Amino acid sequence: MREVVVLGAGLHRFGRFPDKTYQELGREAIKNALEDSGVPFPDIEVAYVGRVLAGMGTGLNVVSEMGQTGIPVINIEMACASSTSAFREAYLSVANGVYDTALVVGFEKMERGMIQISESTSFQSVMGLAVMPAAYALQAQRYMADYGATPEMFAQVSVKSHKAGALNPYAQYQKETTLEEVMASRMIADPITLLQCSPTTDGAAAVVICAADKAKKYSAKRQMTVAGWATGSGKYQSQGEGDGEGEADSEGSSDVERLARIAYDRAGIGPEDVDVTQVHDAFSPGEIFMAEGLGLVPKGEGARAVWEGRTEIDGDIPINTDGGLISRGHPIGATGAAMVTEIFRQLTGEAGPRQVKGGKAKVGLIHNAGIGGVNILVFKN
Amino acid sequence: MTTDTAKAGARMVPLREGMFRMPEQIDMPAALLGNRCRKCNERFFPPRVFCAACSSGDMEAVEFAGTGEITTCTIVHQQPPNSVMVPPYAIIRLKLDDGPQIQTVVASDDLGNVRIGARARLLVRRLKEDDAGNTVVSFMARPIPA
Repeated sequence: MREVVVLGAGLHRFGRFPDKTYQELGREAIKNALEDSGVPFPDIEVAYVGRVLAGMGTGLNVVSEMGQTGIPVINIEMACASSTSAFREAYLSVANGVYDTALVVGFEKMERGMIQISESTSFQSVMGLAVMPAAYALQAQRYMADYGATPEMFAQVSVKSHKAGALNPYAQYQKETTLEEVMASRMIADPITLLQCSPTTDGAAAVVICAADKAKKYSAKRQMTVAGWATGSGKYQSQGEGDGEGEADSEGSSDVERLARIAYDRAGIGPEDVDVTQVHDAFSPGEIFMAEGLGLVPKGEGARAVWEGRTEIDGDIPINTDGGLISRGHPIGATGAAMVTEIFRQLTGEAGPRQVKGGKAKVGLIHNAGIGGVNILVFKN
Repeated sequence: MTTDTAKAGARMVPLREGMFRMPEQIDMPAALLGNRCRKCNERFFPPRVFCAACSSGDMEAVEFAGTGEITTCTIVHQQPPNSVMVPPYAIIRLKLDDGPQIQTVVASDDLGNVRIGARARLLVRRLKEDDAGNTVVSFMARPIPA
């Protein structure tokens, strides 16, 4: 497989835009990404589109806003990880020589309130079991019992997230918050309070990739290389004596370790080489569990690492420097491409006040999860 | 709202057929109807057509007695869409003594004893009334005080 580079990325601000269509959101993100990359739309040979709720034909509706060039437009869905799935497919098609340049775009328009994660008439729904924060809350309760962490440590993730969001003009929430405010917000599923939940959001993000040996003809002065990747779904975990976990976690949260290992191997690195990370903080405990699952900290030490500020922009293991899902927002189809966008800014030294490691970040890591599985991506500069 | 009374003479109907043995009365123990893979011995509730571990279709029906230990729990304060459980209620993971780990709920009137490590038993409890006036029931957990 040949080397593939990211040449540019672009966003539509994340937030609530009731008067804008998903076409408008997607078009703006694509326009910004094309300008950022120096690649004119007619040079794009294929488009991979991450979106969840919008339904049939919506990928084409967005991409054709830029022109009707007859390219394949491929719709991809993996819930909250749709656009990293789209990115992976785009990457593999360029790496394998099928296309030279590809556009990845993710977009979403969302209603307010809890997302329905099960069929409305399923027994889980009726019995009140299909509650997305509950899965994280159950794991958080067990984590506190096993490692002595406190609810404040999970809440601190949200404090850090809002602080980073305040430095990101594209974030849904750009105001700092205090630990007291986070703890005092409405309890959803103990210990997760409202300010520890990612919001529903409208938004779009787009990325342009190109075969490395074809990138010279474009004016983008900087790039980052796709170094590694891994994807998988929840794998059944027996606990011995014929007593399994039941169904594997549909978001694959217990599979992060094995998938990260595959991605690190492909990239020829270990977690100690990672300079900056994006993880799927749909709810605040996610950052702690993923920091451990990705091997950035040993098991059981994630909460303390957050509490000590190690995952802040100026920490040694910066995570979610743009505010993450909690503050940047979570338009479910677009989040993955927004993660790629922030890593691109970090590795090319263009993250401004959010820049980590004095602009010398060389390795970026992404973990994006959705009902359906987990995507891991590794980038190098 | 009480969860443990059925209207006198009202018929009990399960939320889903085939998930548990219907007891004579509300708030009585529920044996769960699951299955076991004959090839690799993994056990499941709800029952599966193909084994999650090895994909074999050679499954054998098994009943689980409905007692176990709470391995984790959370109190839910916001009612999710399409749910009839009125907050606050708990979602728990229960490791059955004779079966797999399952997820179920604990109703408001039983929250006091919910904690990691507590023992609990599964009962058939009232969820709601249906349009025909039947009492719709499902399995829920009741923690046993230490």
